[in-house]
Amino acid sequence: MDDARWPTDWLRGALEVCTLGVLADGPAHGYAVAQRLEAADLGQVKGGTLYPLLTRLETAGLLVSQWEAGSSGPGRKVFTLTDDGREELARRSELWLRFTEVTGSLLQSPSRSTPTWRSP
Amino acid sequence: MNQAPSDLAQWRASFILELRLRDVSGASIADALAEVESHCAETGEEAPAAFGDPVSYAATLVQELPEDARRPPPAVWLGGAVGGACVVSTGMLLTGISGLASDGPAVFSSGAVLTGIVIAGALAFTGPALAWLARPRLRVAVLAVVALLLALPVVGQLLLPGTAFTASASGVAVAGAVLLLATGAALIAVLRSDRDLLVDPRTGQDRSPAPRWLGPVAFGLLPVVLLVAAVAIAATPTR
Repeated sequence: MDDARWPTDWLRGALEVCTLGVLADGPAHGYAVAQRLEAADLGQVKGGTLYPLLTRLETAGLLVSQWEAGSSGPGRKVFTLTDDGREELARRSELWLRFTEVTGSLLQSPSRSTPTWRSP
Repeated sequence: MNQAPSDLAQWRASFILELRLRDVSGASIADALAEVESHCAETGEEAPAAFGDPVSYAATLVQELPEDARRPPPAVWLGGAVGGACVVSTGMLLTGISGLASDGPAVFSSGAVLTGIVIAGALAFTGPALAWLARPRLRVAVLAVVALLLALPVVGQLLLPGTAFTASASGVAVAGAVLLLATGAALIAVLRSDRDLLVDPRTGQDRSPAPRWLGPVAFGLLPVVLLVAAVAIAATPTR
């Protein structure tokens, strides 16, 4: 999250749940997770941010990892969501969506002028 | 990766050292290193660009590792104690041989005793400080500390040449030899029981930056040098 696309502290809050969301679609290695996050318009997530986050999620028991041999280059570490990870994803997704509803309704209040989005 | 091999090697060495200093196990260090290399190979990025400063990255990563990724703190004091015992035993052996060569007692000067105590104490109690100084940017400081330790006996001898005490030359030589052998045996036992290798999870190869023989050789070098000096003294005709 070293892109200026979104404020860093916003991304810090969202990156964990989004990473769990990416891995809910199936096991993936670190770089593939970063590509998916970037493709979703979250900006480029550097290795120095991504791997400590994946390690944190694995330490919490939400992911497991395994090294797999690479077809051409070196092997890759593949991360898989655990059952606990799926439960945590469901819990955090619901919370996050409620949070965005609350903040959205506050920012779109009729008493306020229509917000004009500008790049941070 | 367009990074010069030496830069990458330095990044890797700093990263490994920082994790070692933070008591991370060899398996976890090797895993983290493989992650970095695998990511860089995939993205074509350089390690400093993708992961930043190796010391800061190691500090960040270590906070996220599980408890079992830590190894019991290495007995840094043990290395210092072995070094201290090495100095004391070699000094005893040297003094005993000198006494035997001159057909007299083993003479311990005040300066030799004082500097022996200072060096042995410094080695035994400054292990963590020396480990901290071992960071690549501070290698000059390590050399300065080593040079200071080596210079101390000369300074002590010059300042305090008087005799502190004498003892049986043969007794001191035998005691020094026994202590030296015991120290060496203890060192080998510790190194054998403390094999925390950096085994690459992808290849199964050990990636420890220092070869296994380096520790014994580094510790063994001091007594060897001093013993050569002792033999040279013994071979010198006395007046």
